[in-house]
Amino acid sequence: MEENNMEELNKTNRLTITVIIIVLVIVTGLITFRRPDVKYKLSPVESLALLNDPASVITPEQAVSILRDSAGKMVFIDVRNSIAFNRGHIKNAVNIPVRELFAKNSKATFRDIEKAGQTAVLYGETQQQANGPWLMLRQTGFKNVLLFTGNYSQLDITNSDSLTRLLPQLSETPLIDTAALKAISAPVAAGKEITQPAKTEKKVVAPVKKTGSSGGGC
Amino acid sequence: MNKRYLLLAGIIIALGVGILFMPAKDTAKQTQPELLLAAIDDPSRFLTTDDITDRLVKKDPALMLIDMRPAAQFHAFAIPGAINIPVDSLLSTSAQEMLNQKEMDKVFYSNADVTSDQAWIICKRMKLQRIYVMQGGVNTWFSTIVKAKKPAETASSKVLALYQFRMAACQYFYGSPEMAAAPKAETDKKKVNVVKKASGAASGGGC
Repeated sequence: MEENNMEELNKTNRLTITVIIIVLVIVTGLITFRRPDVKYKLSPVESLALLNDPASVITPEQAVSILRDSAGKMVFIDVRNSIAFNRGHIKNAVNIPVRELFAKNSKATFRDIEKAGQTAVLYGETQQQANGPWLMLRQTGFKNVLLFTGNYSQLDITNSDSLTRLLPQLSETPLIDTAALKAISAPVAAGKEITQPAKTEKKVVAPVKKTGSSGGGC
Repeated sequence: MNKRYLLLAGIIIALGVGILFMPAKDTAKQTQPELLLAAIDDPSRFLTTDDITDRLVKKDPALMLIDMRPAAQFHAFAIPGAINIPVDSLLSTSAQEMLNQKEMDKVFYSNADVTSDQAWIICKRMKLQRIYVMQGGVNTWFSTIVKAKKPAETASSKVLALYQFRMAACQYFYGSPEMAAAPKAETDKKKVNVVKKASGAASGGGC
């Protein structure tokens, strides 16, 4: 009789403990649950459309004129590391290295810029460096962020020829002309005038295997 | 029936119903922004034109070169063996199918490495595997492989070996240069060198 009672008691205790444990697990789960701070606001398709948007980039010419005249509206963000930043940076630029882009302080900076009605311009050593951070900010919902399409060295307005200091192979302008490829014995002139490629119409992908080139040789 | 059993059952059922109404998580389909940023900060996605050339010459079957430029530019000049997926149609079904081949190393390139890198970021977000970017793009390809600059004769053997490699690769891709013109240019150059005893300033391309 007594044994039976004990068993009953044990069972009840165990059940209580189980209930308590389950409740504890749920409660700790709810307490530690953290919504992700940064979320995508643009779908991949929207992000892709962004790449062809001339309104979300800023050319070296535009940047230099802004630096000369209306610096107040634009906040330049330097995405290089702090060593490069300390060695030299443009006036009033804010240093936010790539890996600290989503840190609390950085996000606060971008929000402040947005509140003040200003626009952030991201620049790096090359356009390529600022490219990733720019795309990440735009994808996660920061709208007033522009990408500078040149190199840091071009922003040096104390130097008058800063605009011509474009490293040609770093820009998306095609530098190959097939004529040069065919008459390959003549070296490509260094200061050749570069023409902007005509924007081609959107095309449904039709992957074509390129077999061999049109000869020419070097 | 113990009341506690009912309580337990109630909790479990409530949790089950909760899971049923949970919003679909997109982590399975997308790389989270923080992780993607870390990937962007990691330069290991960049392959040099020499790496690519080496793999092309060795006929690496796992290499897949993706040309991100508009079709017109692709037809004018492209790296041998490349496939054209203009960046505008990156997210089309056929392009995604092409890029989803898990056993291939997909190397993106454009004229420089800006457009290709943007495409890389979007593809990385969509969790595509084994994707890379060719550093410098076609412009660098053209200036390093097709128009390899002759290094100074005093350059280190490493530099000279690299030049030899590029020249050989160029011949491999585009055929040997005209037999008549090349040796002549070579001797001319040598003469100049003898007279000047200069350390051989890079006297323009031509192989």
